[in-house]
Amino acid sequence: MEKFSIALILFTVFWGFIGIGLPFLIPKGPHRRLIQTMLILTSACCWLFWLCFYLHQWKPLFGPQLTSANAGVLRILWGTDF
Amino acid sequence: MSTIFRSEEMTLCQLFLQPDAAYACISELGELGIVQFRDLNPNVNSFQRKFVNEVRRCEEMERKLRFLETEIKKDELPIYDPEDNPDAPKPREMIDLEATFEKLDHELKEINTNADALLRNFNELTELKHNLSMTQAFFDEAQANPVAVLEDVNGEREIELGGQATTSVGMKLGFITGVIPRERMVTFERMLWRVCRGNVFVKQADIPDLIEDPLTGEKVHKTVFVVFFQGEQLKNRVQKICEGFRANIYPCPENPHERRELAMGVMTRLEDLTIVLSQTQDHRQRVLAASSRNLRTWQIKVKKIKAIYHTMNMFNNDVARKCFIAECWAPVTELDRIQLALRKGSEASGGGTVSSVLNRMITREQPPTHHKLNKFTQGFQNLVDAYGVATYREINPMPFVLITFPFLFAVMFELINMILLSYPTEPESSRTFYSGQRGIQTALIVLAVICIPWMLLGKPIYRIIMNKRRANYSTVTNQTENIENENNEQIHNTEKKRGIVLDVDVRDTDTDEMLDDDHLHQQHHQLEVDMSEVWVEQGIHTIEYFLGCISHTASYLRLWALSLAHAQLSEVLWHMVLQIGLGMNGYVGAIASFIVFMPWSSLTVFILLLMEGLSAFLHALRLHWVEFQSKFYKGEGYPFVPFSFRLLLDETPIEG
Repeated sequence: MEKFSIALILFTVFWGFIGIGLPFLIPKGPHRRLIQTMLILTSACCWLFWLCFYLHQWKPLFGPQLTSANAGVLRILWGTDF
Repeated sequence: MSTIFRSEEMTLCQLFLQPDAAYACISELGELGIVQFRDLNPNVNSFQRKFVNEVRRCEEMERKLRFLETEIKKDELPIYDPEDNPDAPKPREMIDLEATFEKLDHELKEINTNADALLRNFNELTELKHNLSMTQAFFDEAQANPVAVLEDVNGEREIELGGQATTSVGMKLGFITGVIPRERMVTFERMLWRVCRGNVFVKQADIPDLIEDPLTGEKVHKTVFVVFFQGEQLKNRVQKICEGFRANIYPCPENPHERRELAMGVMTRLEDLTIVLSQTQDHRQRVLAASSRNLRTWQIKVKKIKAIYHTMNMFNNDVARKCFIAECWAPVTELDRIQLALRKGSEASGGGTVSSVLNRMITREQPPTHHKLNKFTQGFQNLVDAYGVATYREINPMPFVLITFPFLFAVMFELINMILLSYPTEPESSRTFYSGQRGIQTALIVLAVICIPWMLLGKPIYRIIMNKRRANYSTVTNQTENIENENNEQIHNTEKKRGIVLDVDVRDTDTDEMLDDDHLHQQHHQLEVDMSEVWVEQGIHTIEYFLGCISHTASYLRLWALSLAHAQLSEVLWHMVLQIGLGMNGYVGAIASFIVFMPWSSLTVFILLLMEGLSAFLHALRLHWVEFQSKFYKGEGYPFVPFSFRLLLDETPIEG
């Protein structure tokens, strides 16, 4: 549970820095707004992407599927107590 | 600020051009390619415009160049592309170009006709040669079986076959020799048999070589025939049939000596003709090769001249002031470059006393939409423009599309995206995926609820404030306006628009209601805005937004659907196809894998990559157009199409 929250916080902080922190550090120039918009959009998309992957793997909707044939093989190879 | 968030600021400019300098200035502006000219003579028929003759001359030149190009392509000579961009030539150079083209055109046509005549002659002589050799063979053969005395068709002389005497009966036979295409020979014979009721005797021999038919120019198999008959009537009938079948009849002398002499004469003439023909071909090649080097340059130059005269046809010719008046849209940031180009043009055309003048005009018309783009951003801008070209100075969705379009495409194409839905088999909806989810859900709902009054009230309140401000302002300027209106009417007769506006134009840039009429005395009509209409409009927008919230959110489920489909397809291909091959052991397995790879890879490419890629592209585009752009994007502008030589040469590619 802790590992989950650590990873969540780490990545959120990472993309948050890029998306919220970096825009303040862009030097003034004709393209400042443009670069800020790009950064925010990109970091939001990437963070969302990562979040979906991560959450799905933490609480998956279905797990790895074992066919009965493979289960029989495993039983033979590893014995009955695994 | 020149970014891609909004379209560039454009201004309407008036150009005053000296007649001598006009051509050079337009040429410079064409090279620059950042102004869009307006047609000041829209009601004038294209045949009544000022420079219609020059345009006609350009078209004539283009026609000649096209003819030249087809001739060069016929001979399969390479056409050289020019490395640098040739400038538009000056008006006096146009006459030189015309003369050159005329000369080339005339020469080529002459060469062509000569070559045709020579070729025809050559073919006829070839056929005659074959004819003579074949008939020689006939008569030699007939020597062995003397039949009769042969009578020459043209002259009434008796000839002797091979010098042998005839029988006492002495049937006199006439003959006709000719050449006919091989496929017609059988029908020809049959026709002769039927018409002459079997009273003619035909001998034929195939010509082994392919002969070029003098009329059609294509190579066919031909046959030499000799028709023997008796009497005038049959002779006429045979001649008519030969004409009908379009067989080429050749006179054949009866005397073997004369035949031999004729044959030798034909040979010598054939040799001469071959030499002449090859010389003609060489000459033609030389002419074409010389012009192929310059062909592209000429084409570009003629295109530029034509474009310049087309543009100049749009100008207003002011006789009183002896200058051309042009109107164009130009980006505000490029005005310096335009001034520079005008100065260059004026200097290039002889450094006249007065240089061309650029004058900024203020107008109420909607300017065209111009975005500064490079090749990369142009692609995304095209996606947005397909929905609608941005209204002037409207927010351009392109920067956002640039990021979100690849993102959504990747989502649909690549992964099974589990959106934060509740687990379908889990009955309790109170199960949370992560702590704090309840709080976030509540916050999102609150945000959505706040949007309603924001949208409903925001615009009307803004409008009310603006109205109050304008009402105070207009009472002050109304008096000065009335005086200016009288001045307007006087000037109106000589000039359509005023160059410089004296009062401050309170133009509401937020409204989409731009008037086409730019007479200033109608300005005050616009100040009265119907408040009830604004309320109704805002109400509609709010309801639309609220309903859209739900439907658009559900629409994003297509991301899940598409990625699921993609995953299932790839799984099927894996299990059904490739695993069969990989599952087998040993050498059999290796061969099976090799064989299975081909259908697997082709199916993968066509279904997964192409079809799914297209589907993901389409749905990502639809998500952008409907769920993103319909929320705020009006897209009622018209694109900026500058007068640019580069655009002109790109859109009509010269390489056929």
